[in-house]
Amino acid sequence: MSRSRTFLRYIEPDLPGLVLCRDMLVVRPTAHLVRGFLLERTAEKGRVYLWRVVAPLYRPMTEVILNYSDRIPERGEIWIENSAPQESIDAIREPILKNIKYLRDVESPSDFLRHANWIRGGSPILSRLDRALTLYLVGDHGHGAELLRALKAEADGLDPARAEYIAPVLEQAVQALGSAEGLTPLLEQWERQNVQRLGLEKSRLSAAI
Amino acid sequence: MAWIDPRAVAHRRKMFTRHDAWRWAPPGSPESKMPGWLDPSATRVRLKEAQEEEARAAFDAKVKALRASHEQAREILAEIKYELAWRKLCRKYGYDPDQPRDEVGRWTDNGQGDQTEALSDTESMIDVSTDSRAVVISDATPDGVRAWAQYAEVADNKARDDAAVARTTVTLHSTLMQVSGAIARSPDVSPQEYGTEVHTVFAKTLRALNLPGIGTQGVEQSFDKEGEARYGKDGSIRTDVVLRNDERSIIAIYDLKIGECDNPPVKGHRTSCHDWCRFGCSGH
Repeated sequence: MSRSRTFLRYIEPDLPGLVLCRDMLVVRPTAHLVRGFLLERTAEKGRVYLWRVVAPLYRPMTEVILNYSDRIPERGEIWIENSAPQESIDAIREPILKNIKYLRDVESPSDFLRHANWIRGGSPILSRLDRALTLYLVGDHGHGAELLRALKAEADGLDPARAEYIAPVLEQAVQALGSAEGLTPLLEQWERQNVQRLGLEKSRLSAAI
Repeated sequence: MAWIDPRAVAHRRKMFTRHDAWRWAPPGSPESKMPGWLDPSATRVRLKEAQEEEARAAFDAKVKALRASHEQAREILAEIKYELAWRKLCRKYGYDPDQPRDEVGRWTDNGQGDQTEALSDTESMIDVSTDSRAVVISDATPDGVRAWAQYAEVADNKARDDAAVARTTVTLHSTLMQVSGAIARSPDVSPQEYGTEVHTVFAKTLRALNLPGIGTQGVEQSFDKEGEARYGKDGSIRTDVVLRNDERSIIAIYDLKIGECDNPPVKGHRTSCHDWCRFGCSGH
């Protein structure tokens, strides 16, 4: 068991509504977004970063992405030591308690648009992809589809290294747009795969409390 | 009672008073153990105690080192804050450290100054507004801020980003110089350990400074093809400093390089060189 998981496991009982999924404390219920807290190790043993995680699940990912997440607290780092478990746990728990409410308020795709309202025309292409998919999911199909097609044209012009991930994703999305069912089944499929890959089943609404 | 020769009695008595008397005791009895003999269980306990003592000492040393590093970072931060406050004060009151002053700090010029010199200063300020590298130079002086303000008024995004990169480069360079100057490298420290130490203290200082466009998140950030990732993930890369614009696009990635200096060691010369390797970037 990793040290992150060990420390978070001790904190979990004190925080109702949060469930430990692998090494991430997840705010229930997980639907289209995963919200939670995780510890990121660093090159120095004992020094970790605590992240307040918000990530959309409706695009393929091998591990949770941190594009929309923040390091907490403000100073950025936390020290954990096996020899001082109680102090380490307190240092992790305090910023978590301060940020739970924020995460509870970011539940639906429309909340995500509010959370990531900094995404504009000049933002990274992955962020614009997430925005386009979210717009489609909240019901703005016309705008979402238009943005996705524009992104595909942009991705076709990227160099192979940068297009390696995004080009196939956009290819599938644009193909799905042309089908009778639209993009929704594909987004649901990606979401299910991500839930399984990240071990988030326990945090789903359907999971027993 | 049978007669025993007194010499035999004396001999037997001496057997139990001589220095190696333990050899004559019945085997297995406590008396049969040689002086200084320790039961194997006692040996194990002593070994364990020694190991625990060693571990305690190592932990204490580590805590001491961390505290020292923390104090060092705080001192550096205090110096930087002082420097920034001083610059702000200079800007506010138009103080120019290059102006001629007497021994109590009063301005000795009559106020007219050298017109030719003043003109050339103005011209140089106009010139620097077209070159970000020149802005870097001017930003190091109190007057440079005015040049920077002129530069920032340009509406073009690229110019804005270039200006942010130039300004950040100056700040990072200044911070790095202070950090590396505060960390002494002892002969028993390997280059790798020294490099790690400089990286660590530098990152700590930057997080504390919370610079615009970098914050705490732009320090030691990992990326992979899917976006921002966790440290150590397969296929991910770890950056030292990432600078973003208002749209969160990455406009510069800084990598701290620490290595031995090629110049011959002379008095007052640093034994190591620190440099920035900056990569142009337009998002990820």
